[in-house]
Order: sequence, then C-alpha cells, then structure tokens
Amino acid sequence: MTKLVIGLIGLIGLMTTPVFAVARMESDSYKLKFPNLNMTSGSKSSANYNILDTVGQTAPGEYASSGFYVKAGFPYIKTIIAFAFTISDLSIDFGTLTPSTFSSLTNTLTVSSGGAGGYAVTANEDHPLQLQNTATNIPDTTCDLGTCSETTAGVWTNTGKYGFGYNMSGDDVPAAFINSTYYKQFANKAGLETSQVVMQSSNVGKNRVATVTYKVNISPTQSAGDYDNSLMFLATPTY
Amino acid sequence: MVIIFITVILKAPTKVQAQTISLSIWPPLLETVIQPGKAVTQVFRLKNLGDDTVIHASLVPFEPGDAFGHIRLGSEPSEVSRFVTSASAYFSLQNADLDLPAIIPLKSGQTQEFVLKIKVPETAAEADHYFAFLFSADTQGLISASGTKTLGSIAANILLTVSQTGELHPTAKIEEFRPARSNLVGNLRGWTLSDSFLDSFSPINFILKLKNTSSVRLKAIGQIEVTNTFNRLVATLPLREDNVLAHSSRYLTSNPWNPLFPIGRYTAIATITPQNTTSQISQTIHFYVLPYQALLVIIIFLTMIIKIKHNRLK
Repeated sequence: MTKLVIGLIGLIGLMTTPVFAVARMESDSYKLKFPNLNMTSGSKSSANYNILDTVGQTAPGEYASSGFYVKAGFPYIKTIIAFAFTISDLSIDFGTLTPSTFSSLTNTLTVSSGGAGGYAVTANEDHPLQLQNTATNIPDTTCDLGTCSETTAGVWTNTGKYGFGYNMSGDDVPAAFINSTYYKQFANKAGLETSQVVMQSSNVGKNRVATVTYKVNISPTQSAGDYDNSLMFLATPTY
Repeated sequence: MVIIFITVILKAPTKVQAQTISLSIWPPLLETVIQPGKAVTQVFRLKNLGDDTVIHASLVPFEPGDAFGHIRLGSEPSEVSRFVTSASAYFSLQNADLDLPAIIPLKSGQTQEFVLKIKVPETAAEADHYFAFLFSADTQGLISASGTKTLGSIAANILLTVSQTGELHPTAKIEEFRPARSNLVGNLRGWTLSDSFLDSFSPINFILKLKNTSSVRLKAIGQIEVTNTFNRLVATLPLREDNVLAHSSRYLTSNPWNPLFPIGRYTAIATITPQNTTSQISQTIHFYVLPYQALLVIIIFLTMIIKIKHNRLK
C-alpha cells in the first residue's frame, strides 16, 4: 500500500511539475529578459549605407555589408512576436443534406500580427460544392433577394432559397456582415473570381479571433450524392 | 496494483480533436536594397503549431491590394499576366536539401528554417520587386458525406529594391489630410464652411493618405503637429513608419489626439520626409473644436423648461 501511495505521488508529481526551460534565465549575477541571443544587433552604418537587422536572424536588428542593406521585421514595432495564423477545424462535414433545411457549421480563424503592422486573411473556393466526379453543383447562394455575391452580403433566412455561403463574426471582420443573417458567396477560383478579404486590420493585434459560419441548403430536385469543395484561407501581413 | 493504475491512466479516453492548421513565420517583412551582382541571405523561421502537415514553400509576386498596406498576390487568376516577373530567378534556398518551390514535411511543434538567398545578376536593371514568401499547409479535413475541406497558407513579405548606388530618391505627395471625425460640416446661413467642426469630448483622429509618385518604394517618416488658436503647439503625433510602394497610395497611421477639453480653432500640419531624403512634404488644415453635443443637450433642456413654464402661465 505504501508503495502504491509513493507511486501515485510520484506519478502526480511527474504530471504536474511545470517545465522551466528557456522562459527564465537568471542567477545572482545576471538576468536575461529574452532568452534569444543574437550575435549582434543595433544600428550600424558605413559610408554608404545605414543598416537595421540582426545577425542570427531571429529578431529585428542590423547587419551591414558592401553593396546592400537589409531590414528584417518591423523596426518600429518593439516585439519579436511572429506572424501566426490558425484554422481551428479543417473539416466542415455537413453529412447528409436535407432539402429546404439549412445545415450550418462553424470554425474559427485566429491571427496574431504582434510582429507585423497589420494583416489580412483572404478566402476562395476551388469551385462550388460539386457532386463528386461530375459537373453537378450546389450553386453559391444569392441570398433571399438574389443580390448577394462574393463581394456583396445579403440576408439569407428563407429556406426556399438554395445554395452555399458563409457569414463572419468576431474580430476584424468585414462590416458587410451586419449580423448573423448576412451571408456571402466564397470567391470561385474556377470562375476566375478574386479572393475576398474575410479578416483584416491595419494595426498590431494578438489572438484576433473570427468565426466562420458555413451554411448550405439544397432544393428538393438536387441530384442525390455527396458534394464537396475546398476552401483556401491565406493570411498575409501588411508591408 | 500500480501497474494497473498506470495502465488505466494511459488507456483513459482522450478528447478527440479536430484537425487544425497553425503556422507562424518570422520575420513577417524583409526589406532590402541591393546592388546588381551582390547577394544577401535571410533566414525565415516557420513553426508548425498545429497537426503534422506538409509545407509547400514558394515565392509569389504581389502588388498593393489597397491603401492600407494589404497585398494582392500575383496568383490571382485574373492577375497572372500582370505579375509574371523574371525577378523570381533572383531567389534560391541555401538549405542543402531544398529548392524553390520546396515541399517539406513539418511535424507538430517542429520549426523549419528556410535560408533564402537573393542574388541579383550584374545585368539586372534598377527596379522594385515585391514578393510574398508563401507557405501552404496541405493538411486537409476529412468529410464523411457532403462538406468542405479547408486549407491554410501564411506568407511573409519581401520588398526588394535593385539599385546601383543604394541612394534612393523617392518622391511623394499628400493626397488626403483631414480629421477623421467630421460631425458637422456644411452650410450656415448661406456660408459654406470648409473647416471641420469636431466635438470637445471625443478623441480626434486624422486621415492622412500619401501617394508615392516615384518608381521606388519609400518609408514615410514624419508627424502631425497641432497648434491652438494662439498658435501654441499642443500636440505632436508621430506617424508610424509605414512603407509606401512605388506608384501606390497608403493611409498613414498616427496615435489619436486626446486633448483635455479643447475648444476653439485649431491648425494641424502634417509633415513627411521620406526616409533617406531631405525633401519635405507638408499640408496644413484648420478645424474647430466645440462642445456642441453638450450645448445641444443644454439647449434642448432649456427649451423644455421654457415650454413647461409657458404652459403653466397659460
């Protein structure tokens, strides 16, 4: 029994001990706030050039050489936070679709542009939802009034209107999505449509989160089968 | 007994997690000016914070997508012909096992360094070239019936200027400069008021748009100075040092002005000196700041009191 208790305590200890690896580096004689040692950094200049970069390449700083100058990162933003992009769930699985009934699913997009001035996330689809190995489509929605497109949002609550579309809510989303009833089409790459912005900001931000709601509704005459397509989300920092 | 306990823990059901893409890149921006015949290298560090994936890395030209610093990639179908550029040949990877475009597996939590070399040939003409270093993850969702598979990509921007001397001479002009909030602009008894009227109880922002009229990118350095009725300097708002690409416009960013109960006529002067130049561009605007919202409330309140008194007298 004693061995069991000791074993349990040891196991719990192993499971809960926090790991201090490189987050803190200090002793009685030194303390490093950022455990990211660059070989050199700071402003340098020669007769011909002013340089701003870091040898070691992991943070903004400076390096010089004859015939060029380089700036890496945003020197006016005092951070080394990387530009990061996350999609929470890659599978938007509607399962079996029921005619004249909305099917909706969501996932989230998260952007951290702490090391950049701003960002944009654009999206497009390779083609409308398509019956596998055929040319039969579920068309992109035109919403209740038949007016929405990849550039224009519209209210879509009428189950008599069929198609596939999306709504955005959360941080930095286009103002056209006035509320959760407003939908747009994804830009159709096969139709040579230009990718559309789904999130954007001109300012530094960390963990900016937006929810994408995907909605589909088919007509009773829609051919039976499984329909699919692919969406591409691209996150780019500002320059 | 202990073995059984540990086995139970290890066999305990784990939460099923959806497939995710999570990528981070550093640096997000590389700016370089280089002489023909010279070369530079820069390490880009890509980290996979999501599920195991395969990364496709490539260089794609871009142009300004709007006036806010966002980009539009040359891979857009309608733009292909405009973006094709021979400068793509300037780029290569110094990693022993990688060439551009590169395909490389990246496990969850793994970091991959891409050592990008930019070598400009001796014969290259002086010009600006803008590229996105694009990383696409091919992790795809799984669907059982009808549905959508989502894919994700991330990019870092590269601003490359080929110059014989390294001395750039950008030129620019201010296209737009005004207060961001113009709540009361218009006619008053036939007089057209060109100045803006702002409220004393709200922060004041400025809209400042700069047009790069040259064929070389510039970095806008400057500030907005605000003086009051007595010509006394009351605020200096430094501008963020944003890049304005060749032959494009960009709205510049400054901190808002948060004065303590301003009132009267104010003057704002935007002054910009493109980096590495001595040419100064400036524009001056005038605006009035009044507590007109508070005055409106007071006027309505007094009107109501007068009306009530008037009714009582009747």
